[in-house]
Amino acid sequence: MWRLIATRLAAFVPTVLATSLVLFVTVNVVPGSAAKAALGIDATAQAIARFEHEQGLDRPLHVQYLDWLGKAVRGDFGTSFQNHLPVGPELVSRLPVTLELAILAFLIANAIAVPLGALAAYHHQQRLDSVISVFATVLGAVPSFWLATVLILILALTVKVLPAGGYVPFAENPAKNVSLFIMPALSLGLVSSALLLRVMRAKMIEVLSSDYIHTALAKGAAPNVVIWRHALQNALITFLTVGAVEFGWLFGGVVIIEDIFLLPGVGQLVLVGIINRDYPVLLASALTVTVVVLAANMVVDLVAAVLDPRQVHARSRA
Amino acid sequence: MSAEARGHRRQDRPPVLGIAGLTIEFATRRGAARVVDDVTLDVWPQEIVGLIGESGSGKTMTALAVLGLLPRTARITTGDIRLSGASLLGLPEAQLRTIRGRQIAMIPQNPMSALNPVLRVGAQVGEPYVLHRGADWKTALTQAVRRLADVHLPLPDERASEYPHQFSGGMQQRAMTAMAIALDPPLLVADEPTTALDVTIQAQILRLLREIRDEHHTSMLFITHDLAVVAEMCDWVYVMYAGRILEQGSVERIFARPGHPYTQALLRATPTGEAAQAELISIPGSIPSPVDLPRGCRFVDRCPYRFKHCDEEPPLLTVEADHTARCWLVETHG
Repeated sequence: MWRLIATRLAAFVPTVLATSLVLFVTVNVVPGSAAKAALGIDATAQAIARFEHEQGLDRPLHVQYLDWLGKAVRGDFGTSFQNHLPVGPELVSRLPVTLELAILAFLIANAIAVPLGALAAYHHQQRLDSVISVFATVLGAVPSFWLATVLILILALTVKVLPAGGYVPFAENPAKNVSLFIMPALSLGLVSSALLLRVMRAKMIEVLSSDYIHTALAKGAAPNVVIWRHALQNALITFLTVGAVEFGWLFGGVVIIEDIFLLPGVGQLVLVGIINRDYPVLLASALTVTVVVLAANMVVDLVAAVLDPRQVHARSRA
Repeated sequence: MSAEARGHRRQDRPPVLGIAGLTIEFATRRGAARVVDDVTLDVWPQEIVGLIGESGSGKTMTALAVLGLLPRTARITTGDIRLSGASLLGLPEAQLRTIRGRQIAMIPQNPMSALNPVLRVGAQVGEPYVLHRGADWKTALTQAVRRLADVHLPLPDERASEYPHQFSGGMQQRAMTAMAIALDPPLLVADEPTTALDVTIQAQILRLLREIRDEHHTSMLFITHDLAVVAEMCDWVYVMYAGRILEQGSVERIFARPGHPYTQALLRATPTGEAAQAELISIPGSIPSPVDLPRGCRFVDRCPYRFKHCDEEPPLLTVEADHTARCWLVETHG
């Protein structure tokens, strides 16, 4: 197990480095001028040259990258071209918002997908399976921003049980914090559950047709014992891999939902960074998303290893 | 009729397993596929009864029907399955569950895939105690260790806490056997229990199964395609082909004087003893499709002796005492 953790960590660092390089190049190659965005379209050529010199943008790309990287590993992500505030602290304050949103949405998605997927698989090609599959198709076809709007319309404006938007830190007022996160998490989680449900169903159908399930039935196990004791863990091992990708999508794809619900998260920062060609902001926030997604994958790999005794033994023997 | 023939084995109780006129059909796009057709078969106390046939003969479907685990698309159209005299057909699923694992247990073809990869062997072997006796897991584990010792697994204490992938194939089959005999069921259904194992391991498992029959007084329906295994294991044998029983009798009689051309061909195609020296002869053609069965004898298309009568299916004709075959050419011997 420790060996597994060590190998995953060892792979983590080069992956982050490679990603940072790709991000850096992409940001700089994309057309558009940071100076024009910062100074306005009326800026003179002289002003633009001065800005680029001040920010070091006139240096060769590899020099810029190494300079940025050297500071980044020490926690200095530079200052915003726009508001001249340091990017690092800004990110640190925004990260918990997005993490909370992504985790809540992920929990909601799984709470729907796992039991319904398992149920549909157990009733494969029967009526309940069709009903659940139609439900998943409908959920998958709904855009999350539309769902968000409908939720606000109903829960915030008509029934008035939830606030329409805004943010309060958890430490300050836990109840208020959670109530503010319910609708954004639902908008993301419901949509995301559609894909997870289908994956769970397919995986579960495969597991339920395997010999060891037949063994369990031949022992006289009831359906709930067969599903939860004998099938679920096996299905989860591969399901989790897809889950990690989905979590990455949730974390990286929260931009619109954060905007709708006025949540000051990382997604908003990415959006602002792109619009303003604010390279330090864009780089740092995009890299944060990458690191979180990679970390999620790593956690999932470790959980999968715990669920699957074959992996642990195979690796510790190797 | 086999009951009469096996009169000497008959006791004052019904057979452990009595299958009478069992017919199983699948609905397919090309019509009903009759995979088991009017099969009658008995397993008497402490007998090991062989059900032999090639793939697609319906032997596994027969076994699944006994366990009440036929696929959803299959339907038993006629016949009855009785366990110690009591019919299993028509029992509600909840009641069948109390029988599976306690009255009837299964030993599978491939122990590797039949063991759950994420559960410890001890928990899997002990589970019947939890399911049927309401035991807690601690008790179940103690019982599992005892059963693993019964099947001669070395270091059963330590092995019980290992996972299936840490077992060799032979050990896995021993574990499956321990699981099957956990609650001392009167009937074991073994579906090709040695097919997936190395030859040397096969012999060990067969010896173990015989020992279980002798010491636990278990009866066994032994499904196989391997005549050599039948010769070694079984007291009585049913030869199945395309859903039909073509021949039945005591093992000695069938091997000494096979009555049906199919059984004869099977014997010629099996490398046993002296026959191994001679050239093996495979049976030309293949088993007919269950949606497109021949009108008369099931074996007619592949039979070297067919003649005009074969368009009409023969009944099981007596070859000799304890031996019948479904062929017009059977000559009755004293």
